[in-house]
Amino acid sequence: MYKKILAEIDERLTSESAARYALKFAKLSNASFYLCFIHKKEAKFEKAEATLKRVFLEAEKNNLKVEWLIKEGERLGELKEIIKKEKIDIVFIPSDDFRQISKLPCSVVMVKIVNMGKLSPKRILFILKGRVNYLKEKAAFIENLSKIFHAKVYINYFGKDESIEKLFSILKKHEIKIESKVFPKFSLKTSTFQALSKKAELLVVEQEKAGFLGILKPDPLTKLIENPPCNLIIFKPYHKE
Amino acid sequence: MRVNEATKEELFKLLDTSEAGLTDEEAKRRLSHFGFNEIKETRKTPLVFKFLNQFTHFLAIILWLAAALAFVSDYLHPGEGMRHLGFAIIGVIVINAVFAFVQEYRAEKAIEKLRLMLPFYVRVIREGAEKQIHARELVPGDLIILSEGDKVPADARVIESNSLTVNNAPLTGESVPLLLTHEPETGDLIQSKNVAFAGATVVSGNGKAVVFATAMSTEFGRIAHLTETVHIQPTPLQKEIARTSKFIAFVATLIGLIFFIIGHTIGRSFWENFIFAIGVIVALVPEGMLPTVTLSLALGSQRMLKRNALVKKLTSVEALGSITVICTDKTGTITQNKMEVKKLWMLNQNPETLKMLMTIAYLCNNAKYVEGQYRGDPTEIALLKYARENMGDLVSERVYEIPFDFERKRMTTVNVIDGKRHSLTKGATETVLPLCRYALINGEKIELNNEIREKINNAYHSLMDEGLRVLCFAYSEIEPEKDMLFVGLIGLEDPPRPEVKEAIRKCHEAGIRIILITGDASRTALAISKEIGLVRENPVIIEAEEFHKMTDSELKEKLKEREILFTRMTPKDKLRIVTLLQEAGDIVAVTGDGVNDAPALKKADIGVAMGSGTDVAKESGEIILLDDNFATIVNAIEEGRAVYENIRKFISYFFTSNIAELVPYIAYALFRIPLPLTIMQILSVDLGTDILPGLALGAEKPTKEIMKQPPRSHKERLLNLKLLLRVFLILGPIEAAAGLFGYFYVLKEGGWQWGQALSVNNILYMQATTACLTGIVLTQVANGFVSRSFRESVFSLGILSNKLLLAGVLFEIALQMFIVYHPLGNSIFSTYPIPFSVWLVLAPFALILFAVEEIRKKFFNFRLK
Repeated sequence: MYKKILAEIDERLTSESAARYALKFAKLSNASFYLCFIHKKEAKFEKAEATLKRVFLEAEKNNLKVEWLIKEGERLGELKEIIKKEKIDIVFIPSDDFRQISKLPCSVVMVKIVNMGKLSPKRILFILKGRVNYLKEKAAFIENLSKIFHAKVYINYFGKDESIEKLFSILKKHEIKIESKVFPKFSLKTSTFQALSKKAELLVVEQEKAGFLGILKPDPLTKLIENPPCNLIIFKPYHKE
Repeated sequence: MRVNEATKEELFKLLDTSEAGLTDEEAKRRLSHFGFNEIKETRKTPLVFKFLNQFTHFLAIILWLAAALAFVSDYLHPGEGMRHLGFAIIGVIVINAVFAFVQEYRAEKAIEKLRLMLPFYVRVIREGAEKQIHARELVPGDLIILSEGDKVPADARVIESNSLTVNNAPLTGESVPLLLTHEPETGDLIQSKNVAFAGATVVSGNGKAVVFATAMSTEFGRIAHLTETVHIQPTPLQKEIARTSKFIAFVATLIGLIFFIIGHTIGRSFWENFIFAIGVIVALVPEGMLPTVTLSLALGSQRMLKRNALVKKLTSVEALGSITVICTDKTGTITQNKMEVKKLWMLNQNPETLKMLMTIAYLCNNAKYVEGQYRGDPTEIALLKYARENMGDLVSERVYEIPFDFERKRMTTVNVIDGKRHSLTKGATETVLPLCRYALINGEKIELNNEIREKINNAYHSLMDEGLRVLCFAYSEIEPEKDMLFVGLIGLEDPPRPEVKEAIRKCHEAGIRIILITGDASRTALAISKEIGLVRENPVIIEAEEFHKMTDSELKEKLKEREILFTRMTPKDKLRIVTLLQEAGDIVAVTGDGVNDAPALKKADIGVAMGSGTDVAKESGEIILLDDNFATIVNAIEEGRAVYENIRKFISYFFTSNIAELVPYIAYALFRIPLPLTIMQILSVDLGTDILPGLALGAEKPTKEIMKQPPRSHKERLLNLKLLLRVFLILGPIEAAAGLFGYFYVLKEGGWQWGQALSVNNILYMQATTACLTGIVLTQVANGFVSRSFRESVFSLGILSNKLLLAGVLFEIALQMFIVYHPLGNSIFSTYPIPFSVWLVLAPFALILFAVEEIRKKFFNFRLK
């Protein structure tokens, strides 16, 4: 599904971890791998450059087709341009304002690392909510993560869309063992409790498109990003069936 | 790669750090990204908003509306006393709000206590030099220095260790120190011996470690986060009170509205209809219910305290009564936590072998005998005590020790005995026996064969079947734990508390399931459970390993079984059991004492913390057992059931007078008679004369029957049909008849003619309303006595056995005298003194109510459940 994968690097320690997640995805799908660093004018970027080199070398070592791009300018605009120009399928971004980056024209994965000791999660909890769409992409994403880390997969679905069963059956067909639970209504507290009590080492939350009333309600994801119970991925699928 | 699997170099690479530590600049950058290393509390609703919420629920809004209408009426028709009514209703709202707030409010201090378990300062290496910094400034990648007595400030991977031993009790609940290593290890991070976890204490040795997780991302932070995230469900009583309040408010408004329309149709003025509608609402709302519920719970908590259960949250008193499952620890709760040596087993009874067994028990032991007292772990104390009593004190140099840990399940010390080094080992038979190559028989070293091994294993099993905790003893004269000589087995017993057997029998009778969660081996747990009557023949036994492999749905199926034992468990597993039981509809009480019990204690409907437990556990639980005794939980359940039953008694008591207060209004609306009871007179009953007898009903002691009934179903309502029928069809009408009879009796005696209008200041009218009020109060006296039990006769309970009720009734009569005969009472409640003969005319109604209820109990003794 993902043939071109982009990872953004910045000066933070955790951006390397996010890029390594992308690298693992690229390796599993044998995709072309792109690394980019976007900086402001006359900014220092020794750390990011070193990270870029390290991840680049590792990608090469894994026989991946890899490219790096260092750009100067406004970050979001530059990212959009790279995605359009290189026809990127999915981008991995270290923690950021998700409302902004979710506008990028491809699938987006925002990675927030809070525990450097659990970068290879053994238990992953996926939180899906509302309408069950982008079935194939979601299934592929779950499958990839579970295969990369050989992790135990838990899925909590918050909603009433019966299509969730289709997703479960796709995963079953692909021999992904899951433990699922369905809740009628999304609650941040319940999601956090589930992640903590299951001792999830990675929490993957799907970003839903905000509805008509979306602008009136505070996005629960903002709170979750502020205070995640474990390492966190916010995933916005893009590829329609 | 995970941090526990990494070499030092790989770890430095992963966390972008080095032997010289981080630079100050990099630490600053990481601090802005990861935040301060501290246990945080998420934002909560401010207290003032919680208090204001009490003024905005459905019942309160109805009352606000009534008060506002009263003030409007006073503005439009001044001098009719409606202003007083407005203030009285506001007073009711405030009283109810204060009581509800007191009932629900509880300061959350568990997180505060957790925060105190982390250090304030920590030694780190930054810019190549050792520095002392605030622990909150620690970031991933920091190199920390750990020495004896330090508290570990964050989760860190050990890279240098010199006999570095930590106590992980806050995380695992086990107080046995763990020797840490710096070697890479595969497996789960939480079980790694090269990771020092935040909240642990360095018991001995020293070392260096690289921080990989701080603040709420540490394992310690996870417990704090979990403790805070656990959703506390309202207790069954809170739900029932809310449901009942809504029901009453709805019915009151509906009746008010219906009669307003009827009044309008029959041509009554808006003003009359309006007073009527407000009167109906005030009459039907039991204003005194909430304060009485709170006071009754407070009395219940006082009674529980006398029985060694300290209740922290009032509503928990009643919640205890609806418990369907108790998940309990064994050591200290079911048993006395007084370990003693019960049996020795050796391959032959030889003095040499016995001497060696005692020597190992004495020397391979960290308990101490100091100043006439034993100190240390209860198992080790029992062994030391037994060895000392049998062979006196021993002197031997200990060269070193390989401490006990939960994976190895054994400990070894190397001692010099008679100038020769011996390595002495004690531990679980399944881990020590495989390391033995020989056995000490008749003082001789004999090679172990299958036959001897089987003999040892048989002895091991039969000791466990007696409920004993069994330890295996061996030694080696060459390398520690290599080619050892088996010496013998010692069976220790932690005797059950004597009162536990009876408490368990009571639980069985009361339909309460007990699930034992213990760290003991299955055979030992089973034997003890049989001894105390917890299980009969073949209970479901789930060991930790199987438990962790099971999915939630598989475990849920197993949890349906009547008798279950969870063995080889750690406290952290309790949360899963509690959650699944609650999902299956059970009301769960769970016991706990450690920091990692906190989430389960909060999640359970009733968290029962041990008095001897940690502050965090005590802050997380709703009830603290001052004597750590299982039987106390059962006593508290008995009190809890009684409290619920008592609440139903006084609610039915209040409702009876509400019906009696409503009927005069209906008569007023339908028959166009002067209003027989004023609104202020209604309030004099609801917030005056009814309160103390109602409270006294809340203090009724538990009857023997109470623990012979199954737990209350969550579908059972506080006000069920039978209870409502008793109030609406039997007691309410009698009281209403008394009131109306008194009213018409006085009017008739005063020469009133049907259809004649009377002004509110007319003395005859005031006397008539006073007689109506007195009729209701007198019959309520009888109602107080008959409501003591829904099934048992007052005579079988003992008519004078509830002293508080006698005092309440005296108060009720005294208050009524004040209202009837004192000028102040007359002016507040628009009453006027009535002759004594009126009391005598009304008294038979009280006797009728008493007799009717006694007859019902005798001949139509239906259960009001």
